Amino acid sequence: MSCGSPVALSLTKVGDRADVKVVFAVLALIKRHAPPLRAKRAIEAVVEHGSAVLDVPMVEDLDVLTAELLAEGIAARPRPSPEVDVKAVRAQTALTQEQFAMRYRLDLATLQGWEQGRFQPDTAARNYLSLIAAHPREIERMIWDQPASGPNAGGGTRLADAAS
Amino acid sequence: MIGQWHRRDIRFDLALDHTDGGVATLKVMTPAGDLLFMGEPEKQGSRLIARGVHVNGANAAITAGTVGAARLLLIAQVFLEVFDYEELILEGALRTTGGRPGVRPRVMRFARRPVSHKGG
Repeated sequence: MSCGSPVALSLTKVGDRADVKVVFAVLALIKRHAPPLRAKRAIEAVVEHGSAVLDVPMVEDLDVLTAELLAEGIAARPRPSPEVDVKAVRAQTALTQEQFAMRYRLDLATLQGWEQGRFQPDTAARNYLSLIAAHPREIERMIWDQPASGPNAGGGTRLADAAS
Repeated sequence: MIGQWHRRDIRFDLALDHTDGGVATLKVMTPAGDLLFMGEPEKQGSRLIARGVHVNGANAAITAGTVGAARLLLIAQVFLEVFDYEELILEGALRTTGGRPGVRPRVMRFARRPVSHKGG
């Protein structure tokens, strides 16, 4: 698979079918660049617990993947995740890219990549950015006011603020 | 109906290998058709431990019971020989197909035996 879009999938067992073909289901996900161990664990979780969620990095055609998984006993549907305008989230905080990355502990190059559209934030990152957009101060506090575990815990200097 | 299997009937294809991602998939070509073994291998010297092993037949001809204990033993012996291990330990994952779905199979140990020249 050389092109496609990332999709967060919600995976469940088809009805009460016992015959999930784990190997083929995992291979269908690996083919779409899902990390092998994560794909295997997700399908095993479906078998053992009934459901799982997995980010699949490169889905060329969701209908094709869904059909492949269905044939192996797995029902897959895309899991809605929030759409995020990364630049708008940052603009709302009035921070530079460097400040924003440091304040919310993001990798600067990754942040720049998102803003320039060179790559898209994955599901976890989109959820995180949505939380920042909705609760910038609270998220900042949660990140920086860690529970005290030493004499200086929670009192670290924020380089982003020092630079601003 | 497939008769007795012989060593020469068993071949392997690691083309689906994903070992670098912690998972290995091995295609085993048998007289009954292809079998796909998927597990999480760990090499300990001359011993290979494969955890969370799943086996699926690649075609409808392979059904529950196609691979019994004797054929699995044969596959394991050829595997040990071809990949040069002295011992293979298979820890099966929860069964989803074949005999007794929902049951976690017992751990199976296979030690390499000298090749017998009768029966191929």
